[in-house]
Amino acid sequence: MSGSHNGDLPASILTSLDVAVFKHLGGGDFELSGDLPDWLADAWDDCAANSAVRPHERFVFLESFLEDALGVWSGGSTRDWISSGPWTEVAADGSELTLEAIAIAQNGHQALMLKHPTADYRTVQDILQKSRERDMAYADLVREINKREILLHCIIHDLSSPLAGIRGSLNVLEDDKLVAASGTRLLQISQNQAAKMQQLIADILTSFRAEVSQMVPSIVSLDEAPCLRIASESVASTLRPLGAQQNVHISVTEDSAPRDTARVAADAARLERVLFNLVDNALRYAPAGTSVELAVKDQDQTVTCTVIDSGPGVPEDEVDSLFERFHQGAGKAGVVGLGLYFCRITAADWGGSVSYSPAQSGGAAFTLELPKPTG
Amino acid sequence: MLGASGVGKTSLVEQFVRGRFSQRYLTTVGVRISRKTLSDVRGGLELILWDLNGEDRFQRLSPAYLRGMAGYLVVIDGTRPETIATAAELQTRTAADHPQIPFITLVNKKDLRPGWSLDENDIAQLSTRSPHVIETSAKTGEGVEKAFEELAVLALDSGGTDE
Ligand SMILES: Nc1nc2c(ncn2[C@@H]2O[C@H](COP(=O)(O)OP(=O)(O)OP(=O)(O)O)[C@@H](O)[C@H]2O)c(=O)[nH]1
Ligand SMILES: [Mg+2]
Repeated sequence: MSGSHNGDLPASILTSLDVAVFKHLGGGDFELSGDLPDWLADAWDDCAANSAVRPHERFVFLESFLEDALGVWSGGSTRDWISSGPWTEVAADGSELTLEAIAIAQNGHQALMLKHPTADYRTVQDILQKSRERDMAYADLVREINKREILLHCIIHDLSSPLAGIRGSLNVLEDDKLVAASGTRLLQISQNQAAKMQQLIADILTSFRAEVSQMVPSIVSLDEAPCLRIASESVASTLRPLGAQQNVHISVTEDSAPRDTARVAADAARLERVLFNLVDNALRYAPAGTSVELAVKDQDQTVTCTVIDSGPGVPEDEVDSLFERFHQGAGKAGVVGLGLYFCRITAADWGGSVSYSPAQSGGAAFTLELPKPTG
Repeated sequence: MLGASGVGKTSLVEQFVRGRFSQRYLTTVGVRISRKTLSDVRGGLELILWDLNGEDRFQRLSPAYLRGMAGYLVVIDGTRPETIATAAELQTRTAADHPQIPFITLVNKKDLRPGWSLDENDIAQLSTRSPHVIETSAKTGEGVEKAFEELAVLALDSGGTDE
C-alpha cells in the first residue's frame, strides 16, 4: 500500500487536534506537516515549515526517545506506535512546558508527533501525588511512634526503679517488724498501692508494645529466625572498612557447633542493628593496632555473641548506668546516647539480654544473649 | 537525579539552578529537564539535568532515561532510613548498565538534622558502598553546589558519556 496512498492529513485536522506532526526524512531530519501549534511555536521559534528540522536538538529528551522510535519506524518493533511518556522542559526563566512525543509507523510513513500530555496525565499525577503524600505521612507517623516507644520505655524505667525501692523498703519494715502495731494497717495499704502501681506500669507497657508490634511487624517463624553467626559476620564485614580506617581489625570467632543451630528468636533487621551498635561502640574505644572480636557461642537454650575490645574497659562507677538511656562514656565525643539502651530493650523484647563484663584482656566485653526460637 | 520519591531530587535541582526552595511537594511524573551553566568549572560547561520520577511501589524508573548520561546523583532522605534501600537498589541497577559512569550519594534534608533518623552508623555504612557521600539541604542550599560541581568534575575526568 505504501507509496500509492497519500497519508498526509489536511492541515486543518492537525490544527484542531492541537498537535505538531513531523515526517521522518531519515538520519534524524524531520519535516513539519502543517503548522506548528501556538503553544509550541513560543518554545521553538526557529522551527520553520518546508525545511528540515531536528527536534532532538531543540529537546534533548528526544535524543534518547528517538532510539526507541527508530525501532518502530524500521519495523523492528512489534508495535506501530510508541509514546515517550510525559516530560517537562524547564526554561531559563523557570517556565515549564510538559510534552509527550509519539512515534508512529503507518503505511510506510514515519511520523513523530509532539503534543500536550493527555488528560490522563493530570489524573495520574494527581493519584501519584496523593498516594505519595500518604506514604510520607505514614512514614512520619511510624517514626513518631517509634520515638515515643523509646520515650515510654524510659519513663517506665524511671518510674519502676524507685517503685521497686519503695516496695523493698516497705517489705523490710514489715519483715523486721519495724512498724508499731497501730501502723500495720497503713503499711499494708502502702504495700497494696505500690503493688497496684507496679501492675499498672506493666499493663501500660504491654498494651503499648502490642500496638507498636502491630504496626512494625516483628518476629518470627522458625524459618525466618535469623542466624546469630551470619548476622555477626554480616555486621563485621559492614564495619570492617570503618575499622580499617582506625587500624582496628574485626574478627568473628565461633565454636564448632553445626551451622544452623545458631538461630535466634529475633527479627533480622533489628538484630543486625543491635550487633552494629555493639561493634560500633567497641570501635569507639579500641586503640589502633588492636582488634575487636565477635565470639559466637551456642549455649544450650540460647546463643550468645560477645563483642570484645582491648580498650580501657568501662570504669567501675559507670557500669551500673551503662545501659541507661542517655549514658555517655566519660570524655568521649559522639552520640552513644540511646545506643546501648536500645540494645538492652530490644534484646529484652525478644526475651534475651545484653550484659557487660570486663574482658580478660582488660577491655570491655558485651554479651548479647538470645533464646533459640521455639516451634 | 535518582532516588525514592519525596527525597528532594526536584528541590535540589531547583535550589542549584534557581536558588529557590519550596516547602510544597509536587511529585515528578516522567522527567523534568533543566539546564545550568557552570562558568567556573574547567573553563565553563553546560549541565543538562535530568530530574527523574522517584521510584516507589507506584512507579519504577525507566532505564531509557539513563541513556547517554555523564554522571548521576543518588539521593537519600535523612529523615527516612527506608530510602537508603531504594537508593542502593537503584544504584546497583544503574551501575549494571552503566558501570563506568560516576555517581555521588547525597543525604538530603540536612536542615532537619536534629530529627534525622540516620545516625553516624548509617552514614558510615553508606560510605562503604559509595565512594562519595555529601550531606545536603535543598532548603538552605548547604552542600548543593558542591554536589553538582563535584559530579561535573568526576564526569569530565571519567571521559563523558557511555555512548
Ligand atoms: N526541610 C527540607 N525539606 C526538603 C528538602 N528537600 C526537599 N524537601 C521537601 O521534601 C518534599 C519532596 O521534595 P521533592 O523535591 O519534590 O522530592 P522529589 O525527590 O523530587 O520527589 P518525587 O518527584 O516525587 O520523586 C517537598 O515538600 C520539599 O519541600 C530539604 O533539604 N529540607
Ligand atoms: Mg521530583
